[in-house]
Amino acid sequence: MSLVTVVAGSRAHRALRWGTIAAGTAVALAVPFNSSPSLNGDLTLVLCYAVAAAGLGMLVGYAGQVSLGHGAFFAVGAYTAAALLAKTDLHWLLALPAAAAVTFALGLAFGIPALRLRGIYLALVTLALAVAAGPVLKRAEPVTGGVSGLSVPQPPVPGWLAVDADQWLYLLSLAVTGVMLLIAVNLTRGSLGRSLLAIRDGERAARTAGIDVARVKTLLFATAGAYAGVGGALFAFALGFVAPESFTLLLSFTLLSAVVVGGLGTVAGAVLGALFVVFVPQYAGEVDQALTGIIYGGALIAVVYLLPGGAAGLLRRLRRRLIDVVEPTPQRGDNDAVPTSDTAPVGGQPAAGGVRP
Amino acid sequence: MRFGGVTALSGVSFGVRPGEVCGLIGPNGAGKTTLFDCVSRLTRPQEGTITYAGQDLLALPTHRVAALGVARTFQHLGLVPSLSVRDNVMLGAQHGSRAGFAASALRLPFVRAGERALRARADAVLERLELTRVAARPAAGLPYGTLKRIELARALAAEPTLLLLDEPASGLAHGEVDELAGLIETVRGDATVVLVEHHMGMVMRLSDTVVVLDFGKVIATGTPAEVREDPAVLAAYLGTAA
Ligand SMILES: Nc1ncnc2c1ncn2[C@@H]1O[C@H](COP(=O)(O)OP(=O)(O)OP(=O)(O)O)[C@@H](O)[C@H]1O
Ligand SMILES: [Mg+2]
Repeated sequence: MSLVTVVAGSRAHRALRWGTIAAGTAVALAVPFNSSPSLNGDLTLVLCYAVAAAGLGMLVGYAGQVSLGHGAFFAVGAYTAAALLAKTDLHWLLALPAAAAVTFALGLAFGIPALRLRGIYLALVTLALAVAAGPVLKRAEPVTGGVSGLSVPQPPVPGWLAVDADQWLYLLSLAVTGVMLLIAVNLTRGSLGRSLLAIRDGERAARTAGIDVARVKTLLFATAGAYAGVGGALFAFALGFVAPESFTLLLSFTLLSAVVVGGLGTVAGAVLGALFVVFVPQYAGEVDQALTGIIYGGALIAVVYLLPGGAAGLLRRLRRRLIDVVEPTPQRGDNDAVPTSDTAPVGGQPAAGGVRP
Repeated sequence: MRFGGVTALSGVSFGVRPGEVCGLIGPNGAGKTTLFDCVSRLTRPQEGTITYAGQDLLALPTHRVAALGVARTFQHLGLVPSLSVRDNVMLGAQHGSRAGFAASALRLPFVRAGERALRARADAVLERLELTRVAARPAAGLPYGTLKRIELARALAAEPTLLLLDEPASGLAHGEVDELAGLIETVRGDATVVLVEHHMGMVMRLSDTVVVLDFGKVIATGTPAEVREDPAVLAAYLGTAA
């Protein structure tokens, strides 16, 4: 039984929701002033990964498409920002939309042919992208600085703000992350959110409902790419330096792990997953380097078998223990009258199948 | 229409007059569902033409068919299990939505207004089909008869001008079949209905015209009374029954 019961859409429900958001924001704003510069640096990395994971989470969780090459988009975003700041006088703020635009375009160019592929084939093609990213970065020396990488002039602390550099980089990343997560929430609700779920779980229904499946998939792939691009640009700001070894194949798997461990396709999941991939290897590494891999692998297996919905799903279930949200029904208790036995599969023929998280 | 070596439809030709209810019957495997799949462009026949409201349907991509006012139900259900009942119905209604990626990302005012209008439309259909009390439940896990009604609600929410119903009565209890027939009666006039059904009583009662398919060919067309007397039809049904 829950402690509290609120009616969906009621004033109390809205107050709870906004209260949670306000409290989360307050904590996120207060953290950098109560921690060390090195911890602030790590938390800034969490935000970079959270943005990338939010995009990948939409792709995997909503469209049911697995990309093993998301690290490549992260790298391209980081290098776009780095090259623009290192080689031109562009304001750092404009480096963000530039990174988003470049990675979106890359996602489109890549997504249009790739999305004809399904499941394992798409995964393999995106894997190839991730494998190619490192060598390409090393070869394209005039733009990328080759093996030695590029120094990035970090965004300077504005004069009107009395904070340290590490706090500023964190706050700047927090603001960008907030905007990106809000956009992710908007994209996954309403008509578009329904279209995405329909494409994943009932493609025939989606197509007869007038959804241009190929177009939506391609745009979502590009959007997920742009999210990684923005995450990468923040990463370049945060480190002040980009080099190929930051963008190995492992990065793509790290991002995918963040999505799965955190919880597919949820904004909270992206943040929780990013916390996981930044901090768990650190603590594990203090004990034993090899332990990182074991914990990573163990956590992934545990989530897949024990925690469907990932950390965000767990949080949601805990919240339900405390607060029960019920639908407003004119005749209360009527819902119980609907028999749940004698159920049938609702998706129809196998054509309706897809990747189900 | 051929699937590999199987010829599912061949030389099928018939017209449906606007506003009428056309019964489409035939033994199992006759090609009725395949015909619907061709009209809703889920499959592409190798030859032939399909015209609706002056438009060559085969020239259109699948997702444009809904905008012409064509809606259908699926014999084996085509609901999205991860969406609530209401969202499934809204999915059917949203084909005119202008909420693309950019507008949705910013949740522009017209996106919110469109969403409200869709919800109102879906709720009206849910009310009409007595589904209001399950509106917020996930589509997965409801009884078959309810799912069939949700399937119909999704098609009706599109406010179609051509409604393709693929065995809407299969799996329904007796009383529910009568309710369904009454409902189709109320749709008549707003939409042209093509009704695939094995429930003969219902087809004969509702249809203005009946088309009989057997092994992918039209073997009879006419009023219910004419078709009932047709020797070829009797042979087809008795033949498969024997
Ligand atoms: N995707 C497919 N691949 C191969 N054969 C198919 C396919 N779909 C249908 N068929 C075949 O086409 C023929 C017509 O099938 P269809 O489903 O259209 O029949 P139907 O009239 O709807 O039958 P029922 O009354 O059982 O629903 C059958 O022989 C069927 O086996
Ligand atoms: Mg059929």
